[in-house]
Amino acid sequence: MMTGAIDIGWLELLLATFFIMAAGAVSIAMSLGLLQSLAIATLRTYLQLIALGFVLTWIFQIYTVWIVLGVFLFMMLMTAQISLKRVKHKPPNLYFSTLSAVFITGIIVTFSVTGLIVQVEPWYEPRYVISIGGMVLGSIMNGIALALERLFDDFKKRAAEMNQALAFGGSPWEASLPSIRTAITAGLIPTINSMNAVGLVMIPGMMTGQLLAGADPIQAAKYQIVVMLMVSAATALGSMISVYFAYKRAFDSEWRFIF
Amino acid sequence: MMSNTVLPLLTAESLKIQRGEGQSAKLILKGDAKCTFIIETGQFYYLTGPSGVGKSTLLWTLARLHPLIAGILRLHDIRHTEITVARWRTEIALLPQRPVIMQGTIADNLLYPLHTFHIQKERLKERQESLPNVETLERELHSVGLNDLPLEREATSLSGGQQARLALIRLLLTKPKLILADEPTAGVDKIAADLVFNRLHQFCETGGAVIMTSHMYADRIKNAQIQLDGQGTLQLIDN
Repeated sequence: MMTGAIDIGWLELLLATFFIMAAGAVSIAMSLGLLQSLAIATLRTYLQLIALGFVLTWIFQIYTVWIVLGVFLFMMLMTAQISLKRVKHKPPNLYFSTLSAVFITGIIVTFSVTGLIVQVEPWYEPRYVISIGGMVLGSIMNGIALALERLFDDFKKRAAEMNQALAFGGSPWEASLPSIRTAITAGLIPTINSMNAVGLVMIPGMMTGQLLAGADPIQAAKYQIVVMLMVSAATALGSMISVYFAYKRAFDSEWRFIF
Repeated sequence: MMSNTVLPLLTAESLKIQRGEGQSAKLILKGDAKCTFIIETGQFYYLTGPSGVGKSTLLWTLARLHPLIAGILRLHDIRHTEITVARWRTEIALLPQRPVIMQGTIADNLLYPLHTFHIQKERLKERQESLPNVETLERELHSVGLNDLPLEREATSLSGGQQARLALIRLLLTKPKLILADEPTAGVDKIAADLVFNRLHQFCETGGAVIMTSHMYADRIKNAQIQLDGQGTLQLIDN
């Protein structure tokens, strides 16, 4: 089905840097003070993606269950850590509950797609599991970060209301429910927006990639639909589960608000 | 089994309470025999003591919203550990210093606890009551001088004094046994404060009880005083 994209030579790759150097020049001219961060970000893009290329080459060659699962596990650990890092004010001991949310969502969504929809053979085929898993975990990360950030932010704002709810005999769940709703909504809105805009404003990255690789546009569209829905499902599930595990951390066992 | 009228409403034995943690922790009650008192139905108690001595913290502890390090609370002779937190807080109810008014109408606010919380719905069922009707809500509004406010009015637009009274009758509609009123008249004009104070008194006369902290009205409390002395002990003065 795919004829493969035209290979980019190393020299040509460096040529792409020219455009970012132009942006750097603008930064200097307008004294935006962005030159250093721009340079670091460019360097990281090169290093991280080339490293990723080598790692994927290695994984695709070795082709063993344990390596694939090991890499997937590592990706899930990173997902939990990075999404928590992005939440500024939070109660302690959130790591394990967040990790559980990543595990549950990541495994369910990734393997539903590879196993039930794409039906890869063997089930651990790294080309699919790792790339689809990566997209799933990326959206889980965004969903969790946005939802938890909003949850604890809203808790802070509603502190008096939360205590009043508890004083009326309300449970932590009942006291938290308005914030939980806000948080899950916040986690989902970017996804819903991008689902509405997809194909109108831009051709999504994955579809572009397949088109460049010579795939049939309808075929590429089908893949993109699967990816889009899977990404939305992952965001939704990830933010819901993480919020469900996390809200309890703001209370003690005697139903007191301790955040 | 003894009836509720002879049993004290609430007994507090050897309470140990502190505020804050670690270096900045402050001992409010030290947990000996001088940290004991009894609250009777029908009585109005005035909680006094120098500012910062822990009056609010004591009230929050009695509502089990602040941790009790040692000691026993009994509601009608049942230990606090044998009553769920939810039920306890509906019987021994805190009226917070600043009224918490929700987005929505006056009626929404009055019905908010009875609508929202499982334990409140359960208690309604136990009392074999339904949600209060419009007449009841209006009668309650009248009892604190909020005569001319339509139930459909947005509650967040009310003045501070009106909100304080709204919060009080919202609490009364949940039928607690004891109200812990934490400065319920702070920042409220004299007329509204009198209405709040009189309504709390009326609550005592009709089978309730009140513990109140306030800078006003000290002279008007003839019944009883709980004095926090700042030395980690308290004294109950029963006139």
